[in-house]
Formats: sequence, structure tokens, C-alpha cells
Amino acid sequence: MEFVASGVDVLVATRDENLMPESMMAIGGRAHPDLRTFTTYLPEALADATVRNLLRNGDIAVTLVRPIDHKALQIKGKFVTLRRSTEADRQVQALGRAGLIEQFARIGIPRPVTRRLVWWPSLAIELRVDSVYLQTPGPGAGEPMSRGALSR
Amino acid sequence: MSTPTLESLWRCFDGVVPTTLATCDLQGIPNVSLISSVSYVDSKHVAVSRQFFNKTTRNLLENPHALAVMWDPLDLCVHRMRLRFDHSETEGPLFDAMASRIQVIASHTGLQGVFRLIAADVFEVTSIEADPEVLEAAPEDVEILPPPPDLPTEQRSELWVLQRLLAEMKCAANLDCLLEVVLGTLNETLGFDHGLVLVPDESGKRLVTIASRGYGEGGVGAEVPFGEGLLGIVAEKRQALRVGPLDSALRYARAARGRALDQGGHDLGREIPLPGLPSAQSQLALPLVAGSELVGVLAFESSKLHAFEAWHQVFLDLLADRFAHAMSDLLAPSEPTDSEPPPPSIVLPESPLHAAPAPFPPLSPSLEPGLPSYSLCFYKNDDCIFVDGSYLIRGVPARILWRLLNVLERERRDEFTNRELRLDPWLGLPPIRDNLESRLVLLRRRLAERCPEIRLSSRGRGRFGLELDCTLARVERASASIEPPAG
Repeated sequence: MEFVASGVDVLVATRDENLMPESMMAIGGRAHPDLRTFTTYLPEALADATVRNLLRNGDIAVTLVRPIDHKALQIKGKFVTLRRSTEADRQVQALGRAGLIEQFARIGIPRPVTRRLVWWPSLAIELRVDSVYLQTPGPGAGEPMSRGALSR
Repeated sequence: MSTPTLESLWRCFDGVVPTTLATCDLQGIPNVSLISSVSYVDSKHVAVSRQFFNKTTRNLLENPHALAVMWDPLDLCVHRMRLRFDHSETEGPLFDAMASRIQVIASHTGLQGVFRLIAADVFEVTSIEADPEVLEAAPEDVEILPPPPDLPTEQRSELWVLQRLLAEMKCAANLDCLLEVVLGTLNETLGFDHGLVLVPDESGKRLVTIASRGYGEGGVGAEVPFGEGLLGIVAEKRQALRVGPLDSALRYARAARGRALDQGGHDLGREIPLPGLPSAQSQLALPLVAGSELVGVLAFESSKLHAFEAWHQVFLDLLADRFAHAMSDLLAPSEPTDSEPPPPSIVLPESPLHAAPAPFPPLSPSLEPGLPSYSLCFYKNDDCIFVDGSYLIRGVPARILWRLLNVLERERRDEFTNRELRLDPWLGLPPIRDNLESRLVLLRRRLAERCPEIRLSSRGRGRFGLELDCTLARVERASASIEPPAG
């Protein structure tokens, strides 16, 4: 949770029926207390292809990367539900967005530029966490982690 | 909006915001990860560096389709490239160029051997789309793109700059002038304000800096082993390298280093400091090759992102060729032939002379209270000289200085020829391509930095004088462990 709140780049990958991959950037996310469910937020204006794929086959991967040090993990799972984000979701997103703006600033991207990233209105995507993988570059990248990793 | 071309995405290839690559296996499980570098191959192909065998690789072997999302680091414009995996290369020019870049990053992070290129994965680019909806319209008061370089109109033509440089290089009377011309004119015309020229030392295994611009004092004499860092790798591979956002690449490599250490990795070497600018964001280095000989390395760096564009490398490649040949010509022996008599030795009276710039001031301290005094120590086993306890120089240039001082003290002679140095077996100059001129340039510049009252002055072609406006105390010792300035 702390990692997610530290300002991570959230990358969502899906695929269509021809196994053509699709990806987009989500803004913000949160692991549920049971550590079996994860919610992330897709900017509605950009989400057509991703939502279409999710409704058709439900396969999803979400990679969380902290830009400043490339620490990363990837969640693999199944799409559960889709809904319009609420005001409470917006607060979660705003925190994630603020962290991302600061992280990007530290790698040289001016804050006014990052603030232009479209993020609202958004769709809340809930997914079932099947597995979590270490994604930090280097030896061991791709190795499975326990779901407990989402609690850190 | 026109369809973007690969050529229009050069800033995206430099990274900063890492490119993401989405793939999918045959069971339909998607995967998305960051990749450390994407390289332009031609107008229809890109290559992705593969340092580790991972899920992305396995997916591509099953299903060649991929989606790369690239971000322009200046305005965060997003470009989506649909890719089809074509083949992997583990040798050849593309692999070598990408491997060298990875090697630079690895050497900066002590990851040699761990963070290395396994393969260059080549993809066909089937489509490129700009995705303008990712960004809201920019407020009018937000400056997105940097202002164009503030250069006079008449100096914007790189051909004009090249012509001027070639003409000035032809007129350079000696290596000192040549180095000043190249670094000075490139600074003046293209704004390259941090530059270095390095030459191989007598071992042929290290580069030593003989000219620098923009670093203040202290750059000359800095050494870099072949194969280490950007400069050492350019020398070893004889291949020009342009490294974009170092911060981004180093972050990626340091993440890999952290993982390697977590997994019990050891002997990763120490992280060496970047040469020159501590905040360097862009570096460009070119080998200086004349015929089959590496005569040096020309390097520039900048704290600005994307300071060096692809065309700069092409431009400097052309310049480097002429520069290398000009250096080679000036480094070649050009003294009187054996049939000509050596220059006459000048023998002076025994009595010490006093007023600067007297040719033969006393070599022992305390005789001339008005003059500065230096204490020089020559460590024989290490071939190096310290001045007042600080490192001055080592190797052949150190031996040359010690020899000159010995002759001055013993024979009261202050004029020397390159020829007599070449014939002096104690100096250990190789019989062919001894690079004596560059050793003298290095020595002259180190003296100017550390003890300007000891000077080597030109006295015509192949001749020079040793001038002292100081008193000296000299001592020889057997050995010392030295740490010359790091490259």
C-alpha cells in the first residue's frame, strides 16, 4: 500500500481476441484489505480499447513502477467489475496523481507538464489478484511474490 | 495530424520516461513491463535491448505481437507503436552499438558482467499513432518546449562551422593550438561548453586527458582505463557513443544492481564517478582514429537533456576524422634528420641568476626569498612526481620533467630538443609513434595548473626551453602509492 501511495506509474495491459496486446496508463490504485482484490482507475476518455478487452475476455496485468528507482511489481489477474469512479475514488486518484507528479519531477519532467495528464472522469476497474511478480529490472525479475507484497 | 514517422521520435528513443512494452502469451495472459532502451534501426524497424531473459521474451517467442508506448520527455506526448517481433541479433553492428551503450551504464554502476546486453530484439513497426488525448491542452503560461538555441543566424549552418574548423585546424602550428581550436570553436559555434580530449598513455591501456574546456582547473591529467565508462569504452571499441539521459539509464541499471546484490551478487566493482559534470544528462564521445591507430578520444557532455542530437554525432564523426589525422601529423616526429647537428648545448656560468624570468634560478630553496618555492618528489617505482605533497604527473611526462630538471641542475642547460628526448633510453619512449608531443602538451598543461612558475616554452620546431621562476627542492624516493585524478 505504501509503495502504491509513493507515486507509482500504473500500467494496465489487456489483449483482444486475436492476442494483440493493449496497454494504457492508469492513475492511482489501491489494494483491498483482503489482498485478493485490486482497484485501479482508467481515465475514461482513453479507456475504450482496454474496457472492450476486459468485457470480452477479462485477462489483465497491472504493473506498478516507481519512476525514481524502477522498483516494480506486476499483478496478474481477472477483471471483476467496472464502474464510474466516485468522489471517494477521486480522492484516492488525487493522492496517486500527486505522488506521480512529484516522482516525474524528480526524473526531470516539469510538474506543469505532468499535471496535463488526463485523469478525470475515470472508471474504477476491480480485478481479482491471481499472482504478483517482481518486476524490478535485474536478476530475479519475473519471479513470483506473495500476495502480501501488496500490503507493503 | 500527420502520421508520425520513426525519425520524428528521436527524443522518445532517448528515454527519460521509459518505454513500456506490452505482450501476450498464447494463453492470453497479458504482460507489460518497462524496457531500458529502444533504438532506431531504420524507417520500419526498431530494436529493444534485452539484458535479462524474462516473461516478455517468452511471450514474444510464442506470439510476436507487441505494443510499445513511448513518451516524449519534453511534452509527454504519447506515441503508440504496434510491433511485430522479427528476430534477435547477438552480434554485428546493431548489437555492438547497443551493447556499448549498455556497457557504459554498467561500468558507471559497477555492474559489468551482470547488466549486459544478451540480444538486440528487432521488431517491425507495423503502425505508429500519436495519442494526443492523453494530455489536456497546455495552459498558455506553460512553456512546453525549450527555446531554440540562441546562436547568431550566420553561425547556424553546420557546414559553415565545419569549413571554419577545417581551415583553423590546418593553420594550427602545434598540438596545443589544435586542441584549443577544436574545443574553442565547437564551444563558440555549437555551444559545446564541456569538452575533453584524451590520448592513450604509453601503456596503451589507459586514456589520459590532455585538454579540457569548461571544467576549470584540474581536468588535465585525469585518467580513464580502456573499457571503463563512456570514454574507456569508446577507446576500446573505437566506436562513437551518444548517451542520452544518463539519470534515467543509471536508475534502470541501479535497480538491476540492487537486485543483483539482493540475490547475493558480489564483486560488482565500485561505482566510479562520471567524468566531469556531476549532473551530466547527455554525453557524446568519439574515437579519434588515424589509419589504424587510435590517437585519442574527443568527448562532450552537458547537464541539459538531449543536448546532443543524432545530427551532432554525424557532424562530429566527420570532424573527428580530420581532427585525428591532424593530431597524428602533429604527433609524428618532425625534427632534424640524423645528418643534421643537434642544437648546441648552452652552458652558463656557475653563478645562480636571480631575477625572473632568469633562465637558471637556483634549484635549492631559501636562496631566493622573493621567489615561490616548490618541493618536488619523484617516486621511482611509480614513475610519478608530487609537488608539495600533491600529485602532479606520472609516466613518461614525469620522467621527462625529472630528466629536464636533472640536466638543468647538472649541465646548466635550459634548452632541449625532442630528438634528444627520443634518444634517451631512460624515458622509455617507443621507437615508433612515441606521441612525445602529446606527452609534452600534458606536462606543459599540468605544470600550468599546479606550478605555473615552471614552464615549458616553445623555441622553434622540435625545440623547447625549461623556464623556472621559482626555487625548487627535489628529492627522489623509491615508491609511493598514488591516486591520480579519477577520469
